[in-house]
Amino acid sequence: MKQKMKGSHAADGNHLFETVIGLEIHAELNTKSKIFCSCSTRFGSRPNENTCPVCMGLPGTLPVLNEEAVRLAARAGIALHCSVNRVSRFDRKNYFYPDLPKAYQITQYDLPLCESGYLDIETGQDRPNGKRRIHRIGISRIHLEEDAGKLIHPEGEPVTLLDYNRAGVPLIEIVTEPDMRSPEEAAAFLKALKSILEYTEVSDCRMEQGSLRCDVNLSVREMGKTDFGTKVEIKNLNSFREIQRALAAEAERQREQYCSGGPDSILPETRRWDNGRGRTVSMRTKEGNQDYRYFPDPDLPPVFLDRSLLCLIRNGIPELPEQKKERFLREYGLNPYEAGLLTGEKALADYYEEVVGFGVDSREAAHWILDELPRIRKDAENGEIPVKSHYLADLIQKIGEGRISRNTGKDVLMEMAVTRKTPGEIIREKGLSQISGPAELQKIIRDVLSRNADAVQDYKKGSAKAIGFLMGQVMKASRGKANPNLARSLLEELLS
Amino acid sequence: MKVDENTIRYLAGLAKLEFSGEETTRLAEEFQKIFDHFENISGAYSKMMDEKPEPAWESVLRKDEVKPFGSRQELFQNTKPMRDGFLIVPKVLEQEKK
Amino acid sequence: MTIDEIQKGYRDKRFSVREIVTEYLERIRKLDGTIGAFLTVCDDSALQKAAELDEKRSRGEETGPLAGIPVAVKDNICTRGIRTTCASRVLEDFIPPYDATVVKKLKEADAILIGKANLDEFAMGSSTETSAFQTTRNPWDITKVPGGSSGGSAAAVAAGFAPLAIGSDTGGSIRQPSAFCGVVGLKPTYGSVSRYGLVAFASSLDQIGPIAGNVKDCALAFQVLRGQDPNDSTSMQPDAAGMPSFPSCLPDQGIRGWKIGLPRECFRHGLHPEIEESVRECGRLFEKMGATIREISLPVWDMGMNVYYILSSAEASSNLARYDGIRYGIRAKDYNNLEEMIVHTRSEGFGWETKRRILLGTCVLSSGYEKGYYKRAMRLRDKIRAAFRKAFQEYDLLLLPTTPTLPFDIGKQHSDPLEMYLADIHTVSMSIAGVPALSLPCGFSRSGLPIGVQLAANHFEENKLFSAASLLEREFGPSGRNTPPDMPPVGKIVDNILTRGGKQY
Repeated sequence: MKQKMKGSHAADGNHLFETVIGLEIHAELNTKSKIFCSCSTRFGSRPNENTCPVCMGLPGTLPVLNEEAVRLAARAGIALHCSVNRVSRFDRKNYFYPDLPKAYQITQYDLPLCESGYLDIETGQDRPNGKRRIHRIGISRIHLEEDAGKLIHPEGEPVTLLDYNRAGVPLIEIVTEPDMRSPEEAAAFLKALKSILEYTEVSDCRMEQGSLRCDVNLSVREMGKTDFGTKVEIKNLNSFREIQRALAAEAERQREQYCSGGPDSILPETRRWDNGRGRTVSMRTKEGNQDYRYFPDPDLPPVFLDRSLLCLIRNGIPELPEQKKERFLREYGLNPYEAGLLTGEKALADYYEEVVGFGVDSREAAHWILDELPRIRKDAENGEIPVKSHYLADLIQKIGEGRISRNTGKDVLMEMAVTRKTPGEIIREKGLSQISGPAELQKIIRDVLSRNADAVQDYKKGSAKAIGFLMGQVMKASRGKANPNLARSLLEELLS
Repeated sequence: MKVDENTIRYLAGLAKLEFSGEETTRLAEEFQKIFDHFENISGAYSKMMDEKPEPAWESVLRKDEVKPFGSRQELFQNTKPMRDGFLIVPKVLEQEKK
Repeated sequence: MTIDEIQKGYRDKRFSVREIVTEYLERIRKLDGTIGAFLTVCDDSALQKAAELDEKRSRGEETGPLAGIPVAVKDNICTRGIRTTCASRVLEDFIPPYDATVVKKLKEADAILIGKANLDEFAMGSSTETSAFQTTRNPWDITKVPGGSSGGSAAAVAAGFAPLAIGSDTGGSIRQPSAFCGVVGLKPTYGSVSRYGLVAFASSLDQIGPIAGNVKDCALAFQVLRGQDPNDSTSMQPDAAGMPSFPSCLPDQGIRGWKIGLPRECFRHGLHPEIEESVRECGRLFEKMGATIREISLPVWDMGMNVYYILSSAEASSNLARYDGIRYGIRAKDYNNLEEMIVHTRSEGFGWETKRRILLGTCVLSSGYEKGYYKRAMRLRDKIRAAFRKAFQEYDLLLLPTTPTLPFDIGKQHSDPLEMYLADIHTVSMSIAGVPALSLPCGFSRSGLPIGVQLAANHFEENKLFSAASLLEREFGPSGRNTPPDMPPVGKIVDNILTRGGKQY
């Protein structure tokens, strides 16, 4: 009985609850060297190859701040409408963990580089005809800090291996206000944020390499209440899909907990997403706050950003997704759905403009890039676009000129992704050229008409279907190479 | 501020140090005296809120250039157990509640 | 011997660098068993460098300003390939893969690193007794401490083991042992000498400086050490900070018309009467030279000790957290897991005083127990700085005692931390203010122990310290001339070389 009650509560309770989500995003900055020493930030080096006395925390060493890290962090702040503090400071966050060589992390505590910004997100834009709504998500702060090393736990051995290549790689931590109300909104925010960080070249945002990481604070409360519920932190989320699944699962868990045990039964804790089991798992409870003993790092003087430097940084910011979308709407005659999708990813937007730059019709280019390209791109490594922009432009032009059919074009595109050959080469080698010579086509059509006297009779009696059948026969006889428009007009001509 | 043996035990935990019972008692007594002495700065504090902080220095920044540290061998000459370029420690257990 | 005398001997070809180095090493070998100034003696590398220098000179090549001068370096300053222990078990086998910036500068100046000097563990102490390895004895009376934490450096100079030593000063660690050992020691302006390679105790206070037998040598060494370093963000370009160019010739700038302040707060309870008398005598001498002496009041003085212990312990607790046995240093033998490995390594590796300060620092930073101690201390630091700034608007120098007491007996230092910390009472305020201060000998007590007097000046005004100190030095005679009674005179070094029938160069 009780079991049933609980079940029904949870089922019809969803709309009685509100989910409150705030994010903490760590993004590795696109610098060549680490934040406080001159070691490389390259990903995928041999273990401990990119280390030196400074990032290994050897006695006597001192940090010296990388100016590019400051520039990129300020750039992110400006792009996210933050105020950039003229004076900011570094602090030490003290705790012991083997991935932290100095047993403190240099971060920014009470004087972060950027504060109080926002990012507008649109939800509902995933569907071409969805109703779009704009939400403003507050960003409480962006601060600079150093990344920690990596721990590797070899299976079945009583040891942990340490690699400090990542220790000292510059990070920004972006902390949002608890302004999101659903896992979809959280994902939409993260996508928009990723897009801005990529556009501004602040970070390459490779989630699979850990250069963009997201921790989530999630709580639930009864609809209409203004106090926040107990918040639970969820760590270890490595893809958009995981984030959406994890948040949905965690919100569901909290609602059930709330219904069965009341609001106080939800504990303030840190949980980890277990992808295999499809649920979050408790890592540790937060008994009081951890005592990090923050204090200003005496090794680093405060950072001053004067007006002229800020101006320089501001002017260095390239066109942002929102601005680019407006321009695409204006210049290329796209609809908002297409413009949104194209500009959502900088690499895609750049690719589109390259294709259009070769003189291809802008709507036609959008069609190929949005409808056809994703099919071949999903298998490509690192989401790279596997066809050069001028090859695609060439292909679209050849279709426009009637050299090949639209359907053949799709096959050629697929082939280009695999062989990296030009469309011309593929068309030539496979003999895919469309038959557009009227003489050759007339010959084929005459053959078809003589072989299908019945259908010709039907047509003459007024059957509309007959012409479709005859067209099919013409295409078949030409092995798909007949230019359909020409074929149809010739067919009609010969029948009348 | 009041210092007792629990204070010392809490702090020792944070600092990753271990003290015997006797040492803990001794430290608690010493710290109590020290903190009683520190109290003389509390009064001074309230009288000086109008002091402006020292004008700070200029930012000191480094160019974003990669300069690898020369010798791996020298860098890790003090590191005892290593394997395939990794440092080794006893297994780090993720604290996970079952 | 002074640096001048040695270099004149080189120029006059009376002896070679190799001979000088050999004699100093010989003296260390004979006498350091008693004094215990060195943790490591660099025989081989010193002799090798000496031979290189002799060769360089025989080819007529130019050599650096400290060419052929043996230097003792405190063992908390990193020396590439040479063990650097901080007098702590936790680093007993640590060999740095890099040179501290000051060591690089010394090498570039062609100085010869002769050994690594003993200290209080991680420079925390004022008697060198917290060293995990050995006790250093005061060359003037081997039953007394040499002071600390740069006790090994000061004792090395006093015992004639090297004409020059490098120390570090966080709250008095150069000045206090210099006073106890009867030598000249400078704590430079914070930021004037790079800290890169100095194993951190309290980063906002630590400063490296020279200890020498006379003011001129001290000044020469400072000139070699100072300068902005791209590896230390807190180091400053003196010229940019408004430092007048350093006087090429030290003495005789004269101090006529200078105003010298005598902080009243130093002359209260607990100051040894003979020290008070010596300091006042220095004041009278300055007056005779045409300076004006005024008693001044620095009410912030009384807060100095507390501010110092709060800030320095807090920073130390963080700076010393890295010694966890994972990357370098010792690793405990017995442990069942990582947590135990770290706790055991630290508990076995650190001495009592170090642990006490780590714990104290953890306490003042802890959100659980702190009552704003750290923040308050930061505010008060600003206030102390402001008070010094104000004082130096009016006064050229401050004149004060270096220590409240004479060198005390080995093993007799108060175990009560509050009493123990009083040893720094006259030195910490200048450390907090970041201003330069110098201690030089100003005579002896009736018991025959050296007495030091301290001069302080405004930021980057080391030249004022050197000028005034060199004038005082004339009155008392350079300390380098005074050899402790039980030791063979340093001048013997040359006699030895010459009587051994060494050929003339």
